[in-house]
Amino acid sequence: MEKRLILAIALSLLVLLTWSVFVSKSYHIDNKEVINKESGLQQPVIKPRSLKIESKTPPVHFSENDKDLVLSTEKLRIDFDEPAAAIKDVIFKDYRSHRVVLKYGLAIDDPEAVFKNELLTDKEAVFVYSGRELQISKHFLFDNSNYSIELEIEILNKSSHAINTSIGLIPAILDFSKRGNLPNYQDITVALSGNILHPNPRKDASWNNIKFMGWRERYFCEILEPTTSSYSLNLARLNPSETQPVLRSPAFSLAPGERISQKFHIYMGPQDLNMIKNVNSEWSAIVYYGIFDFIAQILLKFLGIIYIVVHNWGLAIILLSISIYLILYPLTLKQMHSMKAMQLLQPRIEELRANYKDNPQRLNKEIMELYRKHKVNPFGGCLPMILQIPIFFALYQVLMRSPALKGAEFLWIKDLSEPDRLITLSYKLPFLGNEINILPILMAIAMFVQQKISSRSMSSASAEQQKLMLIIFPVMFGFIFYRMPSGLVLYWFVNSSLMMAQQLLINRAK
Amino acid sequence: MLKKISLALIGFYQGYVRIWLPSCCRFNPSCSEYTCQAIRKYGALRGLLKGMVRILHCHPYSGKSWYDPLI
Repeated sequence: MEKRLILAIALSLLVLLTWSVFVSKSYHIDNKEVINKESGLQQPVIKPRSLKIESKTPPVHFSENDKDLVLSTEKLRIDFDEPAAAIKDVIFKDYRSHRVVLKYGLAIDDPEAVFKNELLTDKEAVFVYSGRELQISKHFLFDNSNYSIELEIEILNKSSHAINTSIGLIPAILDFSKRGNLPNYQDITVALSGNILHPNPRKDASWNNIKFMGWRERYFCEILEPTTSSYSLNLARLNPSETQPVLRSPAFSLAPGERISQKFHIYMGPQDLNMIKNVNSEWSAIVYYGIFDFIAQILLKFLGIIYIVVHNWGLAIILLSISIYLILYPLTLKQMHSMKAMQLLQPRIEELRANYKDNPQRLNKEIMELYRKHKVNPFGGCLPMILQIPIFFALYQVLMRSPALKGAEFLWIKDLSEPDRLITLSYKLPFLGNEINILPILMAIAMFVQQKISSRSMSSASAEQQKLMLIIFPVMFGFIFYRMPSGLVLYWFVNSSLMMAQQLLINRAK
Repeated sequence: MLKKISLALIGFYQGYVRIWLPSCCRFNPSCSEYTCQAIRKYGALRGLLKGMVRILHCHPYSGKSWYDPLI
C-alpha cells in the first residue's frame, strides 16, 4: 500500500518537475531577449498605460538615482527613488534582512512628473512635483507597529484653465527574470466587491471597481486599497519578463486653483495571516495557496496552534506529521487485522495452489471465492494514499511561503524553508552540487529499510519483482527531495519512519 | 468525442503508467478496466462518475468483495 502512495507522488512530482524545468527554460530565453534589449537602452523604461494619452506619450525615462534616499523604521528599511517618488526596495529587519524589490513601487505613471524630496523622517516622506500646469505631492506615512502605510496623493491645478486628468498608481513592477525576487512565487490578487480573483500575472488584463489589490513574492506582500471606490486595475506586460500593474482612478476635471486628494491604505509586510488581519481582516485573502488552498489553510492553522504550545517549528512539523499519521491510523489498523485473517487462510490457499497448478484462471477464481466467503481482502486500497497527496502539496505550499519559517532553526538545520546544507564542499559533486544535505539522504534510507522489511513478508515471486523498485524509489525520492525545503523533508522523513515502525509491528504480529 | 478522449487516456494509463505500479488492487476488475466498461456502457460522464465512485470505495472499510464487476 505504501509503495503505491510513493509511486503516485513520485509520478506527480516528476510531472511537476519536468514542467518547472520546461517553464524555467522558456524564461531563460526571455531573459536573453531582455538583456539584448537592455544593452541598447541605458535606462529602465516604464511605458505608461494611461487611459487617454497612451498613443501620444513616449515611455517614461526615470533617471537613475545616484544618492540613496533611505527611510528607516523599526521594522523596515525603505530605499526611495527620488525622481519617481517611488520605493525601489524594502528590507525587512525582523526577517533576516530579507530584501524585496519593487523597482517603482507606488510610483505615479505620469511620464512628465519628476519629483523632489521635501521631507524625510523615520516615519514620513513627502515628495513634490511642480510642473507648468499641475503640482503633484505624495505623502507617505509609515506606521511603526504594524507594517501599514498611508499614502496621500494631492493634485493641484496651477494653470488658468480646467484640466482633465486621472491618477494612475503603480503598486510595484513584477520582475519575472531571476534578477530580483524569485519569479515563480510572484502573483496578483484582485478583490472586487464580492469576489476575489487570482489572475495570471503574466497576461494583460483589466478590471473595474477594485476593492483592493495585492501583490506578493515568496514571503512578503503589498496590499493597496483606495479609499474612494471605482478605481480600475490594469495589468500590462512591458516586456517578456516584466509586468506593470496600474491602479487608476476615474477621470476627473480640475478647475483652475482646485486641488483633489486621494488616499490609499497600504500594507507592506510579511504574508502572516495574523499581522494582516490586525490591519484589515478582509486583506487576508492574499494568503492563498493554490488549488489545495482549503487544506493548506487548515494545515497552517494547525501548525500555528502546535507552535504556540511547543515554540519550535521543527517540532511542530514533526507533531503535524504524527497527527496526520494518527488520523489515518484506523485505516492501517483495519488493514493489519485483515492481514492476520489472511494469514489464517494461507494454508487453504496453498492447498488450492497445489490443486490447480496447471490452471491459473481456475486458481484465481477459487482464491477469489475463498476471499469472498471469509470476507477478507488482501489489499487495503488506495484511497488513503490518494488522500495524502493533496495534504502533501498543500503542506509544500505552506512551508514554501511561510515567513515565520524563514530562518527557523531545528537541530542542525539552519533554515527550515531551505535545504539543510550540513556540509559545504569546496568542489562540486555531479548532480548534487557542492552542498551535502543530510535529511533527504536519511529519508531515502528510512524509505529503503521500510520497503525492505515489508518485502520480506511477501511471497518470493512478488519480492523478486519488487527488487528493482526497492532501490529505484528511495534513490528517486532522495533526488526529488534533495533541494526541497528541509521542513518538507522532515515531514516526509517522520512519515516514512512511522511507516517503518508500523511495518515492524505487523511483521512481529505474524 | 469525450468518450474517445477518456478511453484513450485510460488506455495510456493502462499501457504506460500502470506497468510501473506494483499490482495491489483491492478489486477485480481493476478500477481503470471497470471505468472503461462503464464508459462504453453508459457514456463518458456517467461512466467516469461510476469509476470515481469505485475509487472512493477503495479503502479497508469498504464492504465490497474482491470480485466487483460492473452490473
